[in-house]
Amino acid sequence: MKHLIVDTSTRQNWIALFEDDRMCGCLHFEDKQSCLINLTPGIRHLLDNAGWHIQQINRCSTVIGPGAWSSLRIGLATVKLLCMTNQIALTTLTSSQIIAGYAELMGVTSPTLLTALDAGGGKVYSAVFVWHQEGYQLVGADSWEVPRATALRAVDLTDLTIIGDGAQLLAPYKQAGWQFICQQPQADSRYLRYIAQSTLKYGQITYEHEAVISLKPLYVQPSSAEIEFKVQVT
Amino acid sequence: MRILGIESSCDDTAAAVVVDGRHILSNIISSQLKEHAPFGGVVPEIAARKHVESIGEVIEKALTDAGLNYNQIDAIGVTARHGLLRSIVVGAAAGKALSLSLNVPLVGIHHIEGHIYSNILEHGDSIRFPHLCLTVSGGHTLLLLVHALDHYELLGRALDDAAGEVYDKIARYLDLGFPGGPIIDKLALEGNSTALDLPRPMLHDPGYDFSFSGLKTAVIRQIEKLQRAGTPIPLADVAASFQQAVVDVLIGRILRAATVYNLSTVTVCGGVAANRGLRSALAKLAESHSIEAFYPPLPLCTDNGAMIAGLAYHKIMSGAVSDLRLDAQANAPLGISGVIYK
Repeated sequence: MKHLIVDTSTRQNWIALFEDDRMCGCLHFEDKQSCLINLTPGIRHLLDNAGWHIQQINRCSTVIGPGAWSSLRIGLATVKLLCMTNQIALTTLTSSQIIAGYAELMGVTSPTLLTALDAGGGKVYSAVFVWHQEGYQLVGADSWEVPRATALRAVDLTDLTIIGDGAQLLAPYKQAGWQFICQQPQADSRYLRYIAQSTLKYGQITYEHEAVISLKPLYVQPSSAEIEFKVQVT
Repeated sequence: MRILGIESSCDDTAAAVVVDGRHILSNIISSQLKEHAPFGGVVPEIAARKHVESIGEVIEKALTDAGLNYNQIDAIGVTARHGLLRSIVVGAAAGKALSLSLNVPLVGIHHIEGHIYSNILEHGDSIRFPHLCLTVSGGHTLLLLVHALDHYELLGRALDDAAGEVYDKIARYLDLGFPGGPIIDKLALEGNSTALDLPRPMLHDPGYDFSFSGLKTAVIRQIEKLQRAGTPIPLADVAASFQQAVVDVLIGRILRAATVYNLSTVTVCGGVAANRGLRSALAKLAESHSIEAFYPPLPLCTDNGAMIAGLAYHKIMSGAVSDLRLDAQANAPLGISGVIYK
């Protein structure tokens, strides 16, 4: 199985090619300004180096957020059209699923895991996972709220690990039994291999042709205009 | 040569297939009016979100309507310059992915240049060079001397609000809905265009620039005056008087430039080119001054993929092809310097 992986959900944009469990190439570039310039040439570069044609790709995986919106949109628009034109199945993972997977890679096995991403403006994106047999399984939906609200929702959870760059925002509300890992996944070959293999885990969704067409990022929060409008109406 | 054109520079997601720069096989436009109407104007973040959701469906529909499959497309044209950056990047990313996937040439197009081309797409060789072009919409008001495709001379531009933008703002002030242009244009048909005494900003100033912000303020002040007097606002009269002031300024600038530069061909393009008041005044001008005036059909006035695909054909014929590193810019000069080619 030939597999293309595209992750543009953070400032660290990653592209990788796998053939089954073997990584055949990867590259990364930083900051949202360069995402549009570098993404498609990067995919072509990796394909050329591997001696592959895009039509040989069997599966594409991408991260749909929440995260850096412009980069996410560039990434998703790109992989959608690649998949649509070549009948490639597209597997999507959320940013919180990626972080939960990274926790597994780090050997975290606490019964409950809370992923926390710094959403900017003093807010966090968060999601709760529970350990189920061999990995973490998402419980409920991703949230976007002030850290205090997240902490209140988690206050009854003991033996909890909080992981992600938003974990530091929850630190002031620390309860007994809470552990903090205040970092984002380090995108390396282990991480990319995890994404490549994650179709076997929990919660990821694979879309075939018709469903790929209307895919959109997982924003979690409304746009600022919608928020202001709701305030005015209220 | 069958070219797929993609346009996403503002709030319309559009794709079209055009053959040899002239024959439109399909022209699909997915409007976001419903999404932006509650805000009385285009919200960039909402526009970008809707683009990424719609782009795949719009492209597939353009191919279906053209009776083609992906492998029958010979090149991709995509708007890469001028507009809302976070909107442009969605269409540009889709276009680049298609170019990679289908192994066909990619051409980045300047949005304004696409609008200028919309008249050539419709009227072909009837449009002679050099000619005068008024590009007028919610985002821009430009008066250009078009020497040739790729050779433009900017004569004048809006120094503050674009003409279409003022329509939207007046409509929002009067709570008429969005977009303001078609609503005010329709209301104006029933009103008295001399009911309100409104200024014609910069009409007699030297040069060819425009300023509509003062006109907007004048309209609002007159409405406030009526409100203070407890007089019901005569919406149709306000619409007709405001529209007449805008049209007088636009037509006045066209006439002066056509006279000074001795031009007998005038084109008008962009969203406001659909305005009936402007079209009527342009027809009168053409008749009284022996000028040939052209404007595109309504589907080519609004943002569309056909103008992008059509112009891309001429770019390819002249050897101006982009590569996969094509970037996007919110503001860029017109012409060859505005878009990166290999």
